[in-house]
Amino acid sequence: MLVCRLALRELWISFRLLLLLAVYVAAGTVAAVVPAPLPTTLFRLAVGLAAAGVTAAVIAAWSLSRERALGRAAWLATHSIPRATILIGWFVPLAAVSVLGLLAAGSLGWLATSASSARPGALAFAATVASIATLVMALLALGLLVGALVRAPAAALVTALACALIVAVPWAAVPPVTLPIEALARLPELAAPTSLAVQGAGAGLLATAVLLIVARGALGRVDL
Amino acid sequence: MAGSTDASSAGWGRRVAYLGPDPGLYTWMTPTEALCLAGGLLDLPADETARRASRVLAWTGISLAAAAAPLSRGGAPLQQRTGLAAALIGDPEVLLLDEPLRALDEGERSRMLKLPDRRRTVLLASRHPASEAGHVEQVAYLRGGRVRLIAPIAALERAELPLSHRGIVALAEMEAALSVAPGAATA
Repeated sequence: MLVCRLALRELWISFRLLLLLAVYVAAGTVAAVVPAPLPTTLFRLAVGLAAAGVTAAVIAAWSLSRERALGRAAWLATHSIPRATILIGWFVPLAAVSVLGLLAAGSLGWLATSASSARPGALAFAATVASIATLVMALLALGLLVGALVRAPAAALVTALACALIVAVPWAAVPPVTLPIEALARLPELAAPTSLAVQGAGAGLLATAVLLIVARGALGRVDL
Repeated sequence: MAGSTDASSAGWGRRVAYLGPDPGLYTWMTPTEALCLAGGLLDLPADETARRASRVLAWTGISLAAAAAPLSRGGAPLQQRTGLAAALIGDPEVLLLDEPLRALDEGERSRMLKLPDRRRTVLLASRHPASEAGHVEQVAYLRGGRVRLIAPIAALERAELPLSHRGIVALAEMEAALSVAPGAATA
């Protein structure tokens, strides 16, 4: 809890928290304010949320690698704070801010779809946004893993490339692999969007857990 | 560390303190906040933390005004003073100092490295051994992750070697030669 508070204050003072929230809100605002047919609105919202997720992961990688470079992680470790706590202490506030941002962006996106007669069901829309939240958590965990291994600014660059690939490649794949973000863009076409979202959420949570465990192992072996 | 795997304040957490070249403090904190955090992490009661904080702040020459302002305003000297104060607040038995207090002038640095109160073991890592004259009783030389030499300062003086990297390496080589050929040494 102490590391969470320190991380949250560090994010606030360095404007990283505001930047993250702003990217999510901007994604929702573009979808809500710029008039377009429903598929275009959903596509814009999906692209915006993908950009926000990549930004969140880059901030995670940058933050953890900076904590190591500035000796703060080492200072906490020499004051009886386990390395796993340092990792979770950064994951929790970043995930919480991302969920808040997704709530705002999702609400704006839902408002943007209200004009269309082909509007998706509320449950399907909410479930898809929730599954995107789990994908963002997995990207955050990946960012923390890179931040545990690579020094900034290379950590930010590697994370940006890796996350952009994760988000973009399934989109371009043939046959298509339906990640939650792609599912949002194709929501009106999907036969069973809610069950697909639940599957996506499960996969996202599993990926998050695996990546956090790997990141914990990596952070335990590197010099802080 | 030292045979203990318990890093909590009940284990080696309070007995061993470390100060690196970069103190690793959040620069938006004030020195007082940093010391309260350090005391809290060592499970010190609040009143004991406050009592110890005022003592180590005085020792490290941090004024009341500086103690109430963010560390970022005082720059590296204030951050390093606060880092030493945070290391001392737990009154550790062993203090590991890695290139400490380089941002301070030599006189102030020397005064602060003559640590107060109790007798404790201080391990000071330095790439400039000459600047540590007067603070150290023994020198050690590490190479390839192994200790090649531990000798009292008097051994350097006896061999008419300076307290410098070159002098310590020369003493290590002399000691190694003596240990390889003890007969030659007595001849």
